[in-house]
Amino acid sequence: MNNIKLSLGYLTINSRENYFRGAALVTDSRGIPTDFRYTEPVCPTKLERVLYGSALDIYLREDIILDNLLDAVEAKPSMWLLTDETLIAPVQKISRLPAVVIGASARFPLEYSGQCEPTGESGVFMFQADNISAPLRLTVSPENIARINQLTQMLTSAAECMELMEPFSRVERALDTVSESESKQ
Amino acid sequence: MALFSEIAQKLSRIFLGRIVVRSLDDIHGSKPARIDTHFRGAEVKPLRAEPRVNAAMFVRWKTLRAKSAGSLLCGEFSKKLGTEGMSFDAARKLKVKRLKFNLKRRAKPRHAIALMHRTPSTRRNRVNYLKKPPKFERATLLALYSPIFQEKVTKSALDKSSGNLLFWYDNKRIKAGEKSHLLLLRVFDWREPLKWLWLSADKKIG
Repeated sequence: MNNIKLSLGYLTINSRENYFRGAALVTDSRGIPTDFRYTEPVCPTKLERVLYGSALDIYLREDIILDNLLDAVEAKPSMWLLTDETLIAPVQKISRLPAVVIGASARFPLEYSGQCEPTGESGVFMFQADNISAPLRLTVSPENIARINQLTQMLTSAAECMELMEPFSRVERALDTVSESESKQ
Repeated sequence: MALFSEIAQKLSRIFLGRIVVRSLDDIHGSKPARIDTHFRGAEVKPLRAEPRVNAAMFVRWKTLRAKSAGSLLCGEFSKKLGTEGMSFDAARKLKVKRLKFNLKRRAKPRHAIALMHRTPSTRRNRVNYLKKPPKFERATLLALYSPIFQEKVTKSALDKSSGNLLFWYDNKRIKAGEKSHLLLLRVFDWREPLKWLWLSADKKIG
């Protein structure tokens, strides 16, 4: 697989006490950023909270933030990596690209890098990205279960040159910087 | 005279049995009989109240555009008051506000690749995951950070609290070079107790 053409998209939506903010980072196979977008914080008013009720969270995340964010990203990745399982379906629907939820685990490493083992849960796998780290927990949507080998091949290839989970912390730090500069204004 | 005439009439009626018969002419001077109809006179009063203008302190005369309630202040009357083209807003309409939810506009995405280039990448210490840690003469392995493109690194720092390595890549440099492991060694019998060592990632460790 050609590493240069492979790119990974990292997508996160923060919902803090009074605002929602989304961010998307696309990196090449070495973890070098090629595109980064974030939305301005969306602070629903009291009236909007009352009128939308329990649908506000879904409406803001899917219809407002995801839609805007994915539309704005110019460098389309090979797949989107997420930390929130509820975003798999809307991200795939809007971007028409595979979305995988990736998370750390405290399990003992599997035998070899690239190894992918199903767990008892449907669509959940333990994946060994490289040979010097704990396995990662991957969750895919039902339609991507059959494609899991293809997806893990891409991830194994990327893990040779980068830490797969690391860009999420970079996005968090960048958003903290943005929030700090906004609060000073 | 009338008294004598009345006494004479009464005496003649008693003793002579006569009564006086008078013609219509005799009662000519009396008042005609009053005939009341059953129709009553109707008093007509206007239902509309008397035109009245109350002064309002918040209205500055001839500076505020307002509308009248009905036609009280229209026409000739308003001319007399000097309020042509304006009137007092007695019947104020209720305004219905339309709320616009512009959440979509508020979630405007921003492009900030420069910010991301300024944000350092990190590597965790992976030494705990080595199945067979490498052996060094007069040194022990404290930390292993991998993979890193050594030629692209412009600056690095060790976060002593977390043990993570922070580093910045030169994103203008197209050639990435070979990926490497960065090892932190504790060296015995050495002036500097800590030593950084780059090893090619092609060389398998552990």
